[in-house]
Amino acid sequence: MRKPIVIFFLILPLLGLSIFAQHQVETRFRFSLPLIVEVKPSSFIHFWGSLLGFRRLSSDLAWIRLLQYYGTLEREEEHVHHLGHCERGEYSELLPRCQEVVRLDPYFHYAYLFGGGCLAFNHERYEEAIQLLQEGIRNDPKFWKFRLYIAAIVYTRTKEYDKVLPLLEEATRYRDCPEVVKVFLASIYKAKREYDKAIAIWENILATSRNESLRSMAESRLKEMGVLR
Amino acid sequence: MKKIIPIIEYTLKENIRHKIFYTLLLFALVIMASSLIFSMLSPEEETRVILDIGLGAIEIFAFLSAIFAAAGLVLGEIENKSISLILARPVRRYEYIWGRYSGILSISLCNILIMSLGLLFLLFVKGWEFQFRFLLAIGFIFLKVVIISALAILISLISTSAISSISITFFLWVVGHVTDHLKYLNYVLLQKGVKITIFLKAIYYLLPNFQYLNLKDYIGNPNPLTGATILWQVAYSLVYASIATWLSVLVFSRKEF
Repeated sequence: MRKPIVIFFLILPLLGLSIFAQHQVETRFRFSLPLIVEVKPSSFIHFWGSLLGFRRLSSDLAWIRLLQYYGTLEREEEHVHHLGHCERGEYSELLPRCQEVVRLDPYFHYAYLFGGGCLAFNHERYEEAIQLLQEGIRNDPKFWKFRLYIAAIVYTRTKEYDKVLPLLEEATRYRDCPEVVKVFLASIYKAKREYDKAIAIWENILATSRNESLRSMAESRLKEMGVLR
Repeated sequence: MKKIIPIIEYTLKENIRHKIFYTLLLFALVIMASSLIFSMLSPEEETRVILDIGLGAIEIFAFLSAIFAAAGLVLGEIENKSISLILARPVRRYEYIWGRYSGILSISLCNILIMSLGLLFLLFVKGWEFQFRFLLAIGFIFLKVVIISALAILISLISTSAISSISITFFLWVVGHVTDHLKYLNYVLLQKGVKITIFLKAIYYLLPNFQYLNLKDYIGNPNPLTGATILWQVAYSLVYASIATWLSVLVFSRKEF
């Protein structure tokens, strides 16, 4: 009889200590993720993944679904990108899908840059691109590349390509620069008849890209410019 | 203390001989290897996908091996009456529980280390840049296992079958990850005029809170994690696990064999 009482009186202060420790963690833990009601997950897997502590993994699955969605042709004709005119599909769900990815993991920087770049430079949906990048700034104000991309998008919208060039050149110096930005920069160089710079970018994409369709696009551009046979 | 060490060794050997241990470990390594296929779907973020799938696999399989060990070992010995042989020796009940618990933690730690080495190998092959937060994420996965193993032993002593023990422990695992949403629930209920704040707070503090130990979801977060925060998180895990283990000792001491 004595032993259980001793154990019971050992457990009580431990319980108090546990509550105190949890309160200390709560006040010091500066990391927070959007609640499930804010994320609005589109699938059962994302919902349960988020609840069970697999937010980043759910974000990765949403990201792969986004890439599959964006990588699937909406129309039969080949993707062609010209400066100021795009003949790709509509991809109306591009922004909501990007938002789901970044709400599951607000620090998935590449998703913001990729989504913003595709919306702005491939589809001329500048407002949506800026909306996505501004959400990135709210979640991670220290990541300065969001502001760089917004500036490039604003100048692209107002067709001030001379101001766009230095911003995009800076963006392409970084390893995490989405290839859509490099493609857009190459198109600007070609439109301004700076063929050497355009060729350098396409050669870089051909040598480094892990995306097969982009590599074949780079190869065909280089053949058009007479660099490859 | 000296009597606990042979129990730990015995628990380790028993688990290592168990087929479930190898099956789960093999499955974890297979899933990590299969992450290479998933990562091909996202060429620009390959290492991120491998890292996240790998950490997820480590957590799931560490959790499964811990609850199967906890539910199977103690309950199994009670059911086949071999516990009487152990307690016939001069082994105190609290020594038995703590020895079993420490043995389960040792085997979980071995599991986690083997899986982490496998994941690190895959990541380095893919050119990943090492982040210290990876080690913290692995450490915090182990802290989750520390808590859930203690709870699993307690549940296995209270419940009547291994299946119910595993189910209840799994339920606690799920609930432990959503305790953070209790604050939002309280906010919504208050807006509708329902005041059960004290009740929800009681549940919040009594249930394990795994969200603060879920560092694998915050690997990309640029905010620093201070030493004081880490210490309090470790303290919380150890104290909570101690409470569950001492409760197990209390329950076990009242059982007759």
